[in-house]
Amino acid sequence: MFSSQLPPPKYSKGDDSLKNEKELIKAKILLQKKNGSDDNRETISDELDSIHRQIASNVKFEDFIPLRQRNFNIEIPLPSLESIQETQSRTLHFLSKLQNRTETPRDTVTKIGNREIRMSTPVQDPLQLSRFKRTGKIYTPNLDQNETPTTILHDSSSGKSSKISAEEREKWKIPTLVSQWKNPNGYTVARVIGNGEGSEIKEINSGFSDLSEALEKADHDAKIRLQEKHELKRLAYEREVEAKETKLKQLAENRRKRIEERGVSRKEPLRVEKAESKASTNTSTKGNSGNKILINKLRDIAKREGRDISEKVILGAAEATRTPAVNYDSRLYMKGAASSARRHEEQLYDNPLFVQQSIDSSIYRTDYNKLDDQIESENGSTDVMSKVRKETGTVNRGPIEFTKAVKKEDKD
Amino acid sequence: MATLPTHLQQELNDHKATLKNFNTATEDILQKNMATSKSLAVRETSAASFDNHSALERRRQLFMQKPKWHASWKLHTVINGHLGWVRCVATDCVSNKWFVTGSNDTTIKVWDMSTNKLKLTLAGHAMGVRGLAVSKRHPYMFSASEDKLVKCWDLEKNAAIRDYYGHHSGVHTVAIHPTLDLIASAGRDSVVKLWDIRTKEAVVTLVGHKGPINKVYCLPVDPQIVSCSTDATVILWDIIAGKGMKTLTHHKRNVRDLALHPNEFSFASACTDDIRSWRLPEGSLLTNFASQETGIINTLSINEDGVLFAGSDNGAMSFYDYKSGHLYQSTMTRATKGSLESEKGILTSTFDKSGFTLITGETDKSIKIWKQSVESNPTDDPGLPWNPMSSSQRF
Repeated sequence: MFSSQLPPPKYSKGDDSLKNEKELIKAKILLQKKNGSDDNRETISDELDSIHRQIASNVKFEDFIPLRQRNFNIEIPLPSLESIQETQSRTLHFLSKLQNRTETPRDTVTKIGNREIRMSTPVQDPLQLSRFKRTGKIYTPNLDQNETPTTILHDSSSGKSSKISAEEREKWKIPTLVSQWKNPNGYTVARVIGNGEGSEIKEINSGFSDLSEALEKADHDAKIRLQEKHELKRLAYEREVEAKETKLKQLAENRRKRIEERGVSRKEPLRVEKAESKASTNTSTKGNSGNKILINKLRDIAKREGRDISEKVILGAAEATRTPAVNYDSRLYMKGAASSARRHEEQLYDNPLFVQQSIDSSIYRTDYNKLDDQIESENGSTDVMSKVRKETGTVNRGPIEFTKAVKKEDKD
Repeated sequence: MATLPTHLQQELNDHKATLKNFNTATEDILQKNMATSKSLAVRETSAASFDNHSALERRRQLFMQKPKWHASWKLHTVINGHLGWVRCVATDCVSNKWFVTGSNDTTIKVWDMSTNKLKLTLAGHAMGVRGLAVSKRHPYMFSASEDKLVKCWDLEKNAAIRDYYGHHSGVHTVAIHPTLDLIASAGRDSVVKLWDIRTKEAVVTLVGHKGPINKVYCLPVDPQIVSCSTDATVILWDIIAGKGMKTLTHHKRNVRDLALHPNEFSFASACTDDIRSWRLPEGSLLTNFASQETGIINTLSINEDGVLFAGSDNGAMSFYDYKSGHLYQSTMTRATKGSLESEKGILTSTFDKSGFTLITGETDKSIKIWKQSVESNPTDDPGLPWNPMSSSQRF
């Protein structure tokens, strides 16, 4: 019912007609090429259409219907003994004919004048690695071009098979460092005894884990003991300081009392105020006073050395050496300041191993420029030419290096 | 030529639509039929006219039949011993006393079938062993390896006696011709080579696949060679003509395995989410198995009882009734102690000669032996329900 509804294939009436059809198309194309026709596109589409029809004539709807749907118990007998024997003898005959074919001699001998030139292909180890780098695809022998294309009988349009987006692909990208995600060859350290007992897994000796645990514990204990010691020391020091302070206080108190006993003869005029004002001026003119000291010092030096230096120069020198009043933490200016600070006790390293580099791209690839430099430095070649950069021809300039003088006796 | 011609495709699509529309209607009819005239329906189907293939009619015919019941399968033994993936397994098809496994650790190991103890380790390959075949007619075993070699092992001397050189790349599979002294091997160089066992000469090279070949089988009559490939095709070869008799293009993805039926002249092939069986010698579609969510299928095996086993790359095991394509049991393998979560895939499988034992080789480096439970019966253990969806009618 269904196949009868299909439109009859336009051109095909049988195998012979198919061939004729093909030839016809070819001839048509040739003709049009000769004529230089302008409607090339049309001919191509025509040709495609005819190919489609050709294929359609080869496809039957029955190809898609599973035979067992109607009856599960269709009998499909194994081939009979006779047919087996017949095929065997036929194939054997063919193969023997193939094998007994007179082989062309491997060595070809050509004569040039009196000389005989023998050409032979050397025997090669088939397991020897190819000398040529093979890229991706393995060579697939050419297929017979004359054959009609095979019809694809699956429906490639429907279904969820869609192209993977770049985003999805990115998600699935596994960095090389984590390639153990799927062990491609399934290799491991041997964990199984191959005595064939089966289901017998070798127990890993617990000694290793015991040892590491014990070491860890000892380390921890030592740390705690050290901490306690430090704490005790600190407490002792604090106590000492406190004792001193109280002693001083007491002395002061005693003195005051003695003075009071003598009577309030001498007033202490605005002592506190004075001190305060002094302190405040001190902080504001600290730089200034430091400068004065420096100026005095410079003057002294000049006098001692007997040099006549003007006041202006001395002032200038003092100004130049003056440090700015701004206070800053020098670590802020240092590279990796934050990472060099230890955050907690367990932190073993100042910074993670691969923090700066992008791991995947760089660390497993050789930087040849760096390598060259390294080799040079290892060779200890100190001649000037080695310092000339290869690419640019410029000389690497740096501070002049002094080498230790070698004594004559040493040399000899 | 990736698609069907447009007019044909449209025709098919139209019928798909009708199938959807009449889904409910069919079921109504079915229920009535089931209740009233079951015997009548069966008689009808047996005498079904072959020229009538409307979608509805086909669906009705499918519903009228019941798949055969099979007992469920249980894990029996786990054997450890290999240091790499177990890539191939073959049984002794003469005495059924031992089986042999090949692994990525380059060794081949022979195990006792009854005690599951190691009998022998054969070393000789330089890279992983991908294919094994034990001969019925000679005391020989053949192994294919990624080191481009096929080796012939003498089972009396327990040593490799011949090497077959000639493949350009790794060899994935090897098969022995049932009547002639020939072996067929194929691999990454996408050709099937036929070797004379004695002279070690590559007699015939069959060219036609466009991608690495995954499996090759030899049959006693034409087509004498069947092969499946990553180019999503199965080719039935004619040795004498030196080319393919028929190319099966129903699969969409890499066809990873083939399995021959031991009692019937048919075979099954599997790609991702798709198992189909084919009638030989002409290669017409027999059954569409209910295999939509199986994932990547690495291996297929069929026993005499009509059980088809499909092992997936994610460790899923599916057992089908071969004739109806009904999935009656679906389980997962158990990863052995100490293996990773991702190491849970089935790479190879085979039934033993009796068909009651299933041997699987897995990515967790273990060999697992599965047995059909003896005491289970259809009432206690009916298996998954028979619910033929339109999957069997897909294209």
